[in-house]
Amino acid sequence: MKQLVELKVNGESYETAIDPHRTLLEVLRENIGMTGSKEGCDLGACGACTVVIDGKAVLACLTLALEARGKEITTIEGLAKDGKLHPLQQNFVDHGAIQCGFCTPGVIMSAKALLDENPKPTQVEIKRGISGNLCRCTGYTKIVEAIEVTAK
Amino acid sequence: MRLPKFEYLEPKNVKEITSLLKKNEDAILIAGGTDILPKMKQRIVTPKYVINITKIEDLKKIEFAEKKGLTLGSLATLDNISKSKPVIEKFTALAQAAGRVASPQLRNMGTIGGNISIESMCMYFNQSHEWRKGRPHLCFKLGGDRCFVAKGSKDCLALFQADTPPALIALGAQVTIVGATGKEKIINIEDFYTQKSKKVNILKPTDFVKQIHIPTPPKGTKSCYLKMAQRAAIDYPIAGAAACITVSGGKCKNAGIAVTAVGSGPLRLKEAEEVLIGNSITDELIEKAADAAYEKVRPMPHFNISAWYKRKLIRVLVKRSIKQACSKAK
Amino acid sequence: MEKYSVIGKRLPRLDSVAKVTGDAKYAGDFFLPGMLHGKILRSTVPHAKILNIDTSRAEKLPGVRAVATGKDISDIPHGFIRAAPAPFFLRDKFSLAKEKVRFIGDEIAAVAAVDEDTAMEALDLIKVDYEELPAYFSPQESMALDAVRIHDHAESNVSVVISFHLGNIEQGFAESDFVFEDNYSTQYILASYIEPHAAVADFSQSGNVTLWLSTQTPFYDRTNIAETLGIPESKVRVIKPPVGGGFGAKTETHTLFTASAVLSRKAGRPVKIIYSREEEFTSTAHRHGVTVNHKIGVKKDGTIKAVDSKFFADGGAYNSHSAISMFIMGTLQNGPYNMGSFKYEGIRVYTNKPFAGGVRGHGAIQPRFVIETMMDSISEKLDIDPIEIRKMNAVKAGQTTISKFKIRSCGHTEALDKAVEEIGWKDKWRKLPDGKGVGLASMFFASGAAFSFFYDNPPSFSGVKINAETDGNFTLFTGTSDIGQGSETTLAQIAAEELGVGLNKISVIASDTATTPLDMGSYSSRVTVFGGGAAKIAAYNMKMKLFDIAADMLEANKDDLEAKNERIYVKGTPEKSVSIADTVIGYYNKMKEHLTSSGDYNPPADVGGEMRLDLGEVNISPTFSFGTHATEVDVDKETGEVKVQKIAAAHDCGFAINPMAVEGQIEGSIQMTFGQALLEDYRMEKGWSITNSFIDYKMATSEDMPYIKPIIVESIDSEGPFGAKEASEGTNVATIPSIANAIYDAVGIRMKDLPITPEKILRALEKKEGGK
Repeated sequence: MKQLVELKVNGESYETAIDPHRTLLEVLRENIGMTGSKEGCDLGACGACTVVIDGKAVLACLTLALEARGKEITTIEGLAKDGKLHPLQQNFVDHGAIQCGFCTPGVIMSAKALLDENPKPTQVEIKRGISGNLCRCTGYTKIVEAIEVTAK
Repeated sequence: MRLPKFEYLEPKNVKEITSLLKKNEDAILIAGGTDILPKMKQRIVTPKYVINITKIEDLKKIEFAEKKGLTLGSLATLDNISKSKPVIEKFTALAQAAGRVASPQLRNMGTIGGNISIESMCMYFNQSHEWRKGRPHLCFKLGGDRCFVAKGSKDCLALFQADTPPALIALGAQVTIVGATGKEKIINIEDFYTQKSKKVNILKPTDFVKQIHIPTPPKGTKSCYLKMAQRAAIDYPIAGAAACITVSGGKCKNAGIAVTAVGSGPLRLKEAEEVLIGNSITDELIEKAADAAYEKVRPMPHFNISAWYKRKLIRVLVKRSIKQACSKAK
Repeated sequence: MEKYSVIGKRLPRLDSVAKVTGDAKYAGDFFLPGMLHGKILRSTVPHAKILNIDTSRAEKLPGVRAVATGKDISDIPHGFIRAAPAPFFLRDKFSLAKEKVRFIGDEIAAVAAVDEDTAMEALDLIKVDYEELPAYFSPQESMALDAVRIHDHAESNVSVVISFHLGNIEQGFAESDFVFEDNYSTQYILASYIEPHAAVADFSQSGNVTLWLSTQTPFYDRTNIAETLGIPESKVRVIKPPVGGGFGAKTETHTLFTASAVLSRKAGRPVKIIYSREEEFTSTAHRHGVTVNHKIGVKKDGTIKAVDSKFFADGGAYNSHSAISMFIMGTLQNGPYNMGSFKYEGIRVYTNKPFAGGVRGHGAIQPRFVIETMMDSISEKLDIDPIEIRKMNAVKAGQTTISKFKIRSCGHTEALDKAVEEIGWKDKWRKLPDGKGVGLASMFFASGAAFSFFYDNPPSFSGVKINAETDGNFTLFTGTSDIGQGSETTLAQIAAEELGVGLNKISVIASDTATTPLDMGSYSSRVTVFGGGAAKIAAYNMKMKLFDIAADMLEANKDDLEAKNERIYVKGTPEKSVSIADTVIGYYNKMKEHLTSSGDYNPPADVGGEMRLDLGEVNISPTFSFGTHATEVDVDKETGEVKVQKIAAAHDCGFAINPMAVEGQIEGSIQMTFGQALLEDYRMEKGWSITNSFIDYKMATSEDMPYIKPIIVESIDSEGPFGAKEASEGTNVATIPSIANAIYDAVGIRMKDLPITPEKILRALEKKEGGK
């Protein structure tokens, strides 16, 4: 049976009626209309759906929407403020860390959670921090570079 | 892939978990959901009720006191465990094992209770409903009459691959299980496992893991977990080995050695431990312990990894984990 | 002063802000009013006649709006090779099975329902009766004399044979002092873009259908969809929104594209189909796995005299690119070395497995692994430095190879020198401690195929149109597909440079079959030379139109004008200038018409020609890229683990329109070949795909990747726009042999079977030690 839930996404409240078996990813994309979080593998192995919940990078495809009630959910749509890109976003742009862009939202969310927890990570820590995000285009080189520059 | 339909329950305390489990047959507990939800998407598990226990804050604690030892609530996340200062310092193997599970996101979500309870896996079983429905025969793990891993096998040969159990065994951990009556039972973690691939642990449908406890190791104890996987992240081990060594007066007073990803459960290697205990640890002795490990394990092949290779690897990983633990223990 | 103001610069992509903010809408992100969700029913048997399909129960399920089977589509099959002179019957795939299924995963029926849950439920209600046929899972089984034919049109289960003979190999071998012969094998791998295939189709009541597809080839899809639906091509509009990677495998018109349109027509509502990751594994195009027998004859001094090459490819159930795949596996051996004489036989065999098609480095990856590994063996045996033997045999600029490739520019030697210097070859090769080693390999690649495989009478190979706006901006229309490589930005940079404006003055409208010029799409590394070539011509034509007007306005000779800084100047007289915006207004006032220009790129006369894949002597491409990878590895002799420390990857891309993008192509493409060398392995068992997720399919993560040092070499080509050549597939062709050769330097074992797993290394090491 559908239940009315309130989700707090990027600082704003959204009310929507959902069945319990809906994942956070489905609800973000289909009910709330935020399609920035992507579905790449659906079994928790690619990281394209990464969002930040209460400061931690998690996979929206393996999170029940009901479970996310009462938590602070941040998605890629919530990073730019007042038309200004988040430094991570700006550095991804400037350093060519984007190609097809499909993994990009997830990678940036992982990177954001990493930098929020560890503002000065080493290159090894950066690589580990985004190791749950598969990218087939960039070889990760420019992604790591963009995160390193942001941390400096 | 979509999840199957279910009813969702959210207990607020430990007592409620038990009563919900008793009241609702065909219920499943989820915490991180990282193991169960993929299986539900694949329709391997289709419970009527999903009991999400993550709202119970009590079960998330990581507590350490020199006298009491380390207590991990079953909902402590792998990420928090791997970054906990006392765990890194005193229970290094566990921090290393927790820190090497899957990926950062899955460690943020996944819990220690979930990791020790992970079922065995197999390429014929961990597949979607669409894939499995076309198969002409069911395997043991799906209630069928055969195993596809090895023709003629009388048992399921799905592989147990969790990272933290060998570390917990080497460190001498105990598991607190709450049963249907609400009564708590404390067992050694080794006894948590059945060594049967079809159902790897002893949990009954009405049981749940409340916490894990590890006594503070004596002075001169160091531990290490080594994992070799095909890739550095998002992967199960080809093999993993944990060693916990106590050195006192130049001699090995105590040793715990256990491995994973070789069979139906994590395997404690007493034979290798015995080689070390009571002796001063030399490279030659470590080689002997590794030989003992090699002699003892009879790995199952898995996917594209042969039993031959896993066995070779166990020898190397046991040797190296003892060496690393000892290099710190000195 | 710098020569160029827009090209040669590290400029961010035009779509980068949309992609970092989550704003970019991929096909799967489209939600149309009333949209239904489609799912595909797939075969659960590897080879069978379909006796009956009962869809009645599915149709009755509440929420189901349409069910389609092979009866709902035309009798025209599709395949990548469609043009008439094709020497083989190459189109053999129906979107929904017509009588037979040929692999587990073959498409049988499609369902559209109000939501995904219902569509999934409906699939289980469709009953298919099969008459099972013997199934074959290896070329050997499939080629047995008594094997049942997988396709009735073929006389046997051989799908394609390509053979050709260049020069005289009998003489070549006779003149050789040594003949080296060896066998190799490579595995099936997957393109593994992160965005699964997605399609949204909206069939309107007026009989037009609009589709948003995750594709590399929207125009080919348009034709295939029109033919499958039995409607005129002009009624089909394919739009390619941002695509989350393609790497060759999205050149196929996979069933979701056609089925979404068929279902939308039936249901009268828009239909979305997204493939699950499992479907990507079980049912989309893979890279051919091959077994190879290779013979090379050389003189004592290292000169290659003769090559005899036999390739045996597992093609899976359908043809796809088949003949092209087999052709280029042969012809792309004719560089970067002169082969003296060359004989090739490429046999592609049908099996009851998912089909193999084109994947990044198409047709070059497999032979390059063989040749470069053998070059290493030869250099060792003859005691010639591996760098020298490569230089000695290298093709040179200005030369025409025995395969008739015209080499217009060649930065191979420079790439080789720079790569080995970067890796520290002199101090490391044969000098590192046991377990550590360096290796190198060179490569070359085509900059786009100079054939129309698909259309009999295409207007051109690539077309670009440009509209001028009165605010001084330009809109560039191109049919090329940006699938993540950044080609829209490349084309815009080329046009901006030619027009003397900044990149921000160019907007790009791309890959919409209703509004952009016909283009063959993105494959064979064609976009920079073909699409970029067209963009340069279109921009030049626009500039000339502007100069005509500006000449009047400035009272100057047209030949004395130049465009820069968004103005048109009289050369040498900086005070005499007019803005481009004012010139456009001047054009309108004078001509009373829109100001547009177009440009078409067609390969020069000495390129291409009749598509005779049975001949080896064809210049396949306007120009060729070159490169060298030098790699350093550590091998753990106890576990067999290979840790690649560094890859110095030098690539001659002619001229880097955008060096940051070229580096990105080098770094990213290596992720795939690094994976194919060491990790990735698509496995099947008796026709069942068992590698169905990114958990089991081991693509390299950020922690696995070595340090990659991209080195750009610029040979300034005479044909490519501003001297540019390809930089997207050639960039990774040398990775695998450079790793294999480094492993040999480290531990003395030759790995000839991919992927090189730790287990294989350990077995080889034990064999070697045991042999002592």
